[in-house]
Amino acid sequence: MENTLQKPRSIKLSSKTKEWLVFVICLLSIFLFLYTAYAKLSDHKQFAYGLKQLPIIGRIASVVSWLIPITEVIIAVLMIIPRTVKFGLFAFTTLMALFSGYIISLMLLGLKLPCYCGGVIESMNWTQHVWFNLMFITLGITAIFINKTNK
Amino acid sequence: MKNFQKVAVALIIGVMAVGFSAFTKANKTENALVDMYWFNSNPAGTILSESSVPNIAEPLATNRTGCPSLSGSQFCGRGYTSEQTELNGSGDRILKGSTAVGSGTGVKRTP
Repeated sequence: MENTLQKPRSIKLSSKTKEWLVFVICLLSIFLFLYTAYAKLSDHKQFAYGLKQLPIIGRIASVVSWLIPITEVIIAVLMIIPRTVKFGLFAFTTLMALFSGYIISLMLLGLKLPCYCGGVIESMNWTQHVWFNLMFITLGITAIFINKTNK
Repeated sequence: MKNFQKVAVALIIGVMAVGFSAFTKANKTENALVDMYWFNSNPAGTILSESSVPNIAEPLATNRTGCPSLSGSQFCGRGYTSEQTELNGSGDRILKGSTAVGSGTGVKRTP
């Protein structure tokens, strides 16, 4: 008897395509972190002042204002070095998730505060910022998943 | 793609990111830091004299362009640049043409 049940179609990517996908996601992530890190460091005074206005972080703004861009640079470097790409992607996704969690909590509290995120990202409103972050988190998770299965 | 090629491409992207960031910063003229003098005002934007402001440690909101979301009973701090203010005869910082916007002497607050 012919089997009438059809298996669900799954997208099968070649090993090379997966490798390319991870590489492109890494490049996008590197660009994002170095772009924003440079903006924060080059205009550090304003970035630190902006952080001081935020709840919770405000008290330790002077430390956080250095910690965030330096961490972004370190994570970008980790994603550049082939041996540490996996760890870099994991750190990138975690940091983006932390940023998003903080923004969402501010939104839920109903606080309307200016964004001191660096560069053109500063022109986004909170909702756009969350969607932007969620897109990068999705890309990060995708890259981690592909990296895990592509062995 | 070999590892060294990947590193090279990633480095180029990194340099481009920094360059693009520097370029957008150079084009940005807004949000420059300026020294502000803070005056207590009511939601209508009227500058209040120091004696008529409730004894609060900090204003309820600090907004350069006013506090449109405040209710009628609340007060806020409004920031003005040094060009918008002047010293009166007593050496107090007041808004230029303050007789038009309020009667009081401004209270300087650090942002």
